[in-house]
Order: sequence, then structure tokens, then C-alpha cells
Amino acid sequence: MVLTWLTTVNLELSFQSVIWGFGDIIDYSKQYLSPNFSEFLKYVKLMGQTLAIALWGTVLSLIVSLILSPLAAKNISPHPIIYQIVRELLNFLRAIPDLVLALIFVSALGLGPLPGLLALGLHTSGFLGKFFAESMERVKPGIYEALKATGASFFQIAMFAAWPSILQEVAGYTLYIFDRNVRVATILGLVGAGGIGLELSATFGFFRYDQASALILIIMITIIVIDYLSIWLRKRIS
Amino acid sequence: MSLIQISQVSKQYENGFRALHPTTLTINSGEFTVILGPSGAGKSTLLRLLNGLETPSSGQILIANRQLTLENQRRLRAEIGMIFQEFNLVSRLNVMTNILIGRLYHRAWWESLFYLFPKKDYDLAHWALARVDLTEKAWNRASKLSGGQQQRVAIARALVQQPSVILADEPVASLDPITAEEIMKLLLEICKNDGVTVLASLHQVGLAFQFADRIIGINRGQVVFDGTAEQLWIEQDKLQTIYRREDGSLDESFNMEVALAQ
Amino acid sequence: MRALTWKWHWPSRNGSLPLSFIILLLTILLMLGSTASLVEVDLVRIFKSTGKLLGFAQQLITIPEWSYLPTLGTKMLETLEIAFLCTTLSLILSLPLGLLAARNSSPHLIVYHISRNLLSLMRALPEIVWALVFVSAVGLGPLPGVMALTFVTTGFMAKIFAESIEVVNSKAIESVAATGSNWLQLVTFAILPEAFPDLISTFFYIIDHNVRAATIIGLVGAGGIGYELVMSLRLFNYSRLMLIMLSIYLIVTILDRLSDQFRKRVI
Ligand SMILES: Nc1ncnc2c1ncn2[C@@H]1O[C@H](COP(=O)(O)OP(=O)(O)OP(=O)(O)O)[C@@H](O)[C@H]1O
Ligand SMILES: [Mg+2]
Repeated sequence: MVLTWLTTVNLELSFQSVIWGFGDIIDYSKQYLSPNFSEFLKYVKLMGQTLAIALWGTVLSLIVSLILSPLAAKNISPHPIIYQIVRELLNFLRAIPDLVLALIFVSALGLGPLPGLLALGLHTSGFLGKFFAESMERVKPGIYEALKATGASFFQIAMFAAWPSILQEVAGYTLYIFDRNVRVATILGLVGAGGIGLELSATFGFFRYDQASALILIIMITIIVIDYLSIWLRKRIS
Repeated sequence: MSLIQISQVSKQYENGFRALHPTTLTINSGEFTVILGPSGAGKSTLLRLLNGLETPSSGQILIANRQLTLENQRRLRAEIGMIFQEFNLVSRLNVMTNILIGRLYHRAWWESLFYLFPKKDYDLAHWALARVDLTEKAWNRASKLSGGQQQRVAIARALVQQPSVILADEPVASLDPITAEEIMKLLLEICKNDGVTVLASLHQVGLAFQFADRIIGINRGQVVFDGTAEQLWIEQDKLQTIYRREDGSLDESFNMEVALAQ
Repeated sequence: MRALTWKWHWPSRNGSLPLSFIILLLTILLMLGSTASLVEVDLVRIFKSTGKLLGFAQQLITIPEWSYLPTLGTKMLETLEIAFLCTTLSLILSLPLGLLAARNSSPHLIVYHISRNLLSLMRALPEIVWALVFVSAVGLGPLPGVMALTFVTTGFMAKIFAESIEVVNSKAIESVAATGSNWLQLVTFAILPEAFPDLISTFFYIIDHNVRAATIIGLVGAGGIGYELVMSLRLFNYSRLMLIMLSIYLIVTILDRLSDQFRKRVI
């Protein structure tokens, strides 16, 4: 409690302004009440691009983590040093926020959705790689030993023992990451990396709250629909 | 003719525990040998040393006159079948794929990438399936089978390796007595008809008497008896040394099992 | 009869790949193929940019601007404070909301539905979008950031909270209910204690998430280190940029490790 109060003071937050300005806030919110859909088709196309970025990013991170995670699972990794290196690499990918990655890629590749999907893909392969590796570590050790005892190689153990044993978790985690990527893809545009975000920040820049409201509605509805879809899919998997 | 030679092999685990004291043994080809001992005696340790799942702390292991090293480890493993107490099948794959896993050593990485196997591997697998009498279950998921059936799949997986020896680590410990006897009979048959040497660890005296050509009794990491079932039958006091604990009392599994044997 | 004429085939009943697998693969390939132009996938462009990326990495290896450290420290502290404050605030807010949004502890079915939908609306938008809205409402600074983060986090936390309440052993609830206690007593004595371990691991997940979010909301001017990051990137101030990225990396890694440790101990 004390800590909370201290941080509040330190940040110089004044919630009074929130409360006193309540009337203003209501006035401000009213501007959102009449969404302007005059450019609906353009918005839908941008939303489509956003979804495509999320899809490509997810597939990219799936491919990267398919290669990396068997190396990052302690009990099947071919060598402790390889295990350590790949683990660190995955930690590194997770540690750089995807918006920052996107900023970097935009400055190297130029504007557009391509740097966005690369940033999404790399950042989330840090997550997927870690999740998959941890699932592999939870597989009954006897199964790996049984394959080892037939003379199977590391790669064959990964293909025939590790992946089939964690298939369900792979599907679940991938869906979760896709879900997350859709959300993030909506804001990649803020740094010029494609999707609906650029349009959104532009409308705020021009104080066009009616257009912002329409965009927010479209984003909200899409995300909620995707949410329900992935819940439905997840139920079908298990 | 000797198939496996173990000389002065010992095993001390990383935590300092001595699971196997220096041991010298020779396993003859074509024989059904049972390693008998109470829980924690070091049976699994001994078997796992033979195909390199554990590395010995000292001593030397020769398989068909070749030393087990890091370089030829995979090749020697491919010649040695192994069966586990917990079957250790990949539950999500079907029976056929589980059996074909026994052929992986002979498959290139790109064949494994696409899950492809050549026709001669399928022929072997079908033969092995018939051998363990599971032909009609070939396309079932491994997890849908009963315990006894799963162990038979594991035996088929070992058979397609065309091994010279099968190591069986307590192959029947998680099965009911009737299924256990069936599995032991199958292993004996494979030993006698197909000429595969079988080295099985057991903790039930009864099954050992019933099936073994030779019994190696081990207790607290030391070989305390080595001879035929008849010899052990006559020297009942030897039987007690196998099951004697540090403080001189007998392992609780002992009395019950002798009663079962008689 | 079947694919036996080939040298190789697959270990399935008819020797081909399972139909469901083929359909899944084709669907994904089709979706990727049809959206390739939309996302402007261009391998040549990626390849050409590797030089630039390497150049960027090279420029990052400069002498860091040590005099910038104090500013960086305050900004980083601000970032952590925002994350901490939001986590606490939303923890406080999500307790009552979660109780209302769990089927077995909600006082009425209508209340349950309303709060569930409200929560999913709060969660639906990324923090940055809310931050944009709040920035244009209350101006630049940490306040809109705190508001945006709290908003989204409450939606998340209350939902997870509600779900863990729903899986609480109903026996425990029944046995307390059998003593004839009222709703509030039921909640404090039967439901909260049972859901507690879940709450702790949720808390760590959320704090981790919030620190990450707090580092980037600065991009739209809502406080924290993000603003500094964008500015130094725009101004090609690599000696600052390196320090900022390093500090973000450090903080996130430390948090990652901590929450791993905690999850292990709780589970
Ligand atoms: N990885 C290990 N690290 C340390 N000690 C171990 C390890 N594996 C086994 N041991 C110990 O070595 C001893 C022998 O173990 P082993 O598994 O060989 O016994 P066992 O005869 O197979 O017993 P069981 O019938 O219970 O399978 C036991 O006391 C065990 O606790
Ligand atoms: Mg054992």
C-alpha cells in the first residue's frame, strides 16, 4: 500500500484531474459515439493485412521454433553447450519487445508489412521455442530412452518421440501465439510496419475521433471473433 | 560362446552412490539369463550399462568382442534390443510406427523427416507383428492397447532391430500374473526358436525358476549367486543372501515370492 | 492396390499421409499463398537488407553515453513504477470483478453475463490503442499509460481469476454453504483460499506482461522508457540506444527468470 502510494507520488499522477475533469471526459467520450464508416472498405482491407501479418508471423515463429526447440530441451539436446546457447538465444528474442524489433527492421527494410511480420515472427519464436522445449522436457524420460536404445539419432528422437508426444500442446500454444499476434499486429502500424495501426494513429493525429471510433470498433470485433474461434478450436483439439 | 563380456565394471552415480561394485561376468549367446534381486539391487543399472544408457565408472564392456565406445555406441545399440517395465511406446503413434522405430538406425535423416520407411522395413514389421500375435492391431494407436499388448509391441520393436541380444528390464513387473507368464513365454520362445540371447531382470523368484537357463543373483550392487535354477533351488541359503538387507533382515518381497514359487 | 509399388511409403493403413494432415497443410499453404502479396513477402528484399541490419548492429557497438545514465535510470524507474502500479490497481479492481464474473460465485446470472462481456471488451484492444485514446484525452505523461495498462490488465486478471474460481472444488463450497453462511462469507472462506495458488502465478504472469507493455507505451507518449527509445532511434543516437536496449533486455530477462522460479515453486 505504502509502495503504491509512493509510486503514485513519484510519477506525479494526479487522479484528481481525472475526477475533476469528469465532465470533460464525458464530452470527450461523446465524440466516439458516432463512428464514421465512410472509408469502411479501406479499413477492412487494412484489417485483412493485419490478420495476414499475424498469420505469417505465427508461421514464421512456428518454423523457427520447430528447428530450435529440440536443441533447447535439456533431456534430448545433443550437447549441454548447444542447449545453453539456444536457450540464451530464445531468451534474447523474448527480451526485445516486438515493437522495438519492428522499429529496427523498418529502418533496415523500409516501411511496409514485411518488417512487421519479421519482427512478430522472431519475437514470438522466443516464446514458442521455450514453450515447446519445456513440453519436451516433461515427456516421460523412458520414451526417449527407448528410442536411444534402438540406436536412433538426436534428430530421429525429436521427430519420432518428442514432437508426437507434445502435438496437442504445440497446437494449443500456436493458437495462443496467433491470438497474441493479431493484437500486436494491429499496433505495428504505429512504427510504420504495416497493418491498421498507422491509420489509427493518423486519425488521432488529426483529431478525427469519429474515424478512430470506427477503426477501434473494427479492431475490437475482429479480435473478439478470433478469440471465440480459437476457444472453439482449442476445445476441438482436446 | 560368449556374447557379452563384462570385466571389473562398476558404476558410481553423480551423487556418489555406488550402484554396482566391480563385477566380472560373461553372458553366453543363446541362453536365457535372469538377473534376480530385490528392489534397488542394481539390476537396471547393470542392464543400462550394457547398451550405454549409463557409462561405467570403471572396467570394460565387450559386445561380440567389440568395445562399447562413444563412436560405435549407436551401432551397437542398434544390435541390442531393449524392453522396459513401462513399455515406453510413443502413445500418439500407431502400433506399426512404434515397431518401425526399431529400424530408425538404418534410416537416413531425410527419411525420418518425412516419416518414410522402405518396403523391406514394413515386411520386417509385419513379420514381427505376426510373431507377437498382434497383426490385427497394426493400425491402432499404441495408447489404446492393454498393458500386455503394449509390451508385445515393445518386443516387436526390439525384434525388427534383428538383435543378437534382448535386454529386458523387469519386463513383467507392471503386468498381472497371467499376462506376465505369457510375456515371459514369448521371450523364451524368441530365445529358443530365433536364437536371440535374452538377458532379463526380475524380482520374482518364481518366474526366474520357471524360465531361466541361468540365474545371476545380485544384492546391493554385488553378484552373490551365479548358476542354474536347479543349483539355486538346492542351495536355499543362497536364495536368502540375494534378498538379505544391510541389517540382516530379509527383503519383504522374499517370503511371499518363495511361497508363490512352491 | 496401395502405394506398395513405391519404394517408400508412410506408416498408415493405406500407405499415404493421414487425410486430416493433408487438409491442414493445404489450408495453411493456401492461406499463406493468398496473403503473400498483401504482406509484401519478398525474399530478395530481406536478403538485401541483411547488410543494413549488420551495419545497424555494428553502429550499436559504440562508446556508451555515460552521462545519459541518470536520465535512463529515472526513465527505467518510471517504467517499472507504471508496471507495478497498474498491477496493484488491477489486482484490487479484479477481485470484485472476478467474483462477479465467475459462474459459481456470481450473485446473479445476468450479472455474470454482463461482467463477462465487459471484461472481454476491456481485453480486446492492445494497451497501446487504449494509450492512444487516453493520451488524447488527458495529455502526454505517465497517467494515460497507467490508465491504459490498468484497463487491459484488469480485464485479463479478472477473467483468469474468474476461471480459477470456477474450477475450485465445488465440495469445498458446498461444505461451507451447508453451514448456512451468506455470499460474502462463502467467498472469503471457501473460494478465495482455494483459488490462491492460481492467483499468485497469475500475478507474476501479469507483472511480466505489464513491464513489457510499460516499456513500449512510451512510443505514443504515455510515459516510460519507450519514448526515449524511439527518439534516440529517430535521431540515430546509437550511444544512447545501446544503453536503452541493454537496460530493457536486462530487466525483462531478470523478470523472466524470476517468474520462472516462482512458478516452479508454486506448482
Ligand atoms: N541416476 C541415479 N542417480 C543416483 N542413484 C541412482 C540413480 N539410478 C539409480 N540409483 C540408485 O542405484 C541403486 C540401484 O538402482 P537400480 O535402478 O539399478 O535398481 P534395481 O535393481 O533396478 O531396482 P528396481 O527393482 O527398483 O528397479 C538404487 O539404490 C538407486 O536408488
Ligand atoms: Mg529397475
